[in-house]
Amino acid sequence: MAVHGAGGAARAILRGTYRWAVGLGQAGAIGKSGGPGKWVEIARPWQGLEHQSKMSGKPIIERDGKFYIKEYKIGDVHYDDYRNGILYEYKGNHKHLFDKNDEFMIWAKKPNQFRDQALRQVKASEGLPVIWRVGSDQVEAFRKAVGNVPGATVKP
Amino acid sequence: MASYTLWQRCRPRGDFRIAEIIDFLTLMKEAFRVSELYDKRNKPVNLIHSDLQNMFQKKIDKTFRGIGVNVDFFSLPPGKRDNNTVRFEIHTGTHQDEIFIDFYDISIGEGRKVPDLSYLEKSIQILRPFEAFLSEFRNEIALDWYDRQQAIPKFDKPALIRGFHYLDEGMARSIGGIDYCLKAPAWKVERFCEGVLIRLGPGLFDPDNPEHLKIQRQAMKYFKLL
Repeated sequence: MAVHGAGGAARAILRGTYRWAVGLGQAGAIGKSGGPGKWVEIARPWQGLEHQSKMSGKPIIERDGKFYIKEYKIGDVHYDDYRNGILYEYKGNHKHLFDKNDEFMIWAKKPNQFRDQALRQVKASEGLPVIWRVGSDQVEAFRKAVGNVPGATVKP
Repeated sequence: MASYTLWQRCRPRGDFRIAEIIDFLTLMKEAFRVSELYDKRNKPVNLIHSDLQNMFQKKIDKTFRGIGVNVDFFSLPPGKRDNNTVRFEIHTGTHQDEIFIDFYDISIGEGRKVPDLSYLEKSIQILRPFEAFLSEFRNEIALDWYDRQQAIPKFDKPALIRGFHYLDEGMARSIGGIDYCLKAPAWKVERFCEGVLIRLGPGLFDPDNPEHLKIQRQAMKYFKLL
């Protein structure tokens, strides 16, 4: 097993000092978290994982040619992070997918997909706020794509 | 170039409103002079009840059945998209106990002429939204549309006043009532459908026209939205 990512959690696992790192708040509490959900390990495509890992502090774990990361899960719905009563979704760089009017170039798929994701995340959130963190040059495009979803906010 | 969207927001009703959607899309085909509408797989869509029912039914979320479905239609096959393409973004079927709303928006490509505003009025008469408006994206950004709207979580009040803006009676009440709206400093305010239609100018709102921006500012100040 290999652990990637620059987070303190990854380094702690490699050094075998994970319990210590959790105690210092340098790593997410794997397996238990407080809050309504739980941390689970899930296989994800490599693209975007580095950004997710950097933002959440969760290490990327490579096993049998697949990549895994811990995500916060409530019911069937996943979030990239949970901190201080807020659920987070981290979106990596999608700038190459936007045109000059901040519209998704693959506009038949992406906006719909993001709207669906935001609605499901709010619905499962048990009233906790959901924040999407996106690149500062992509905020308007994501806001346009997702629209006003009560309970979910797109922020730089 | 300006980029316009007609937003039409409806309170959840718990059904797909297929009859209204067929009337709305049929009207829009006429408004934009297109012979077909296409789904996201580039296939022409038959505007008949059973086909739309199947299309929406398939999109229902298995876990959260009440959150409604997102379905988009296009004036050109989306694979051939150009700046003339019009996208009809529909979110429908939201249950009444949800915090979300239904919406029937029209995103108009920057190369496409906005149809005669009488078509938008007819669309409002078909869908009966609580709020509908024609927005211009640069103007929206300049006035911080997103954060203003997010601060009104139940869509109980307009966030801005746009060049063409319809409010039903409840929304009109949120900014002073219909009688107060009718006295607003705008080019034209009239009773329409079940509420009021505010027009800041006779034509399309131009985000580069200082006069238009001034009238918008005056109207928003009158409604205490600034």
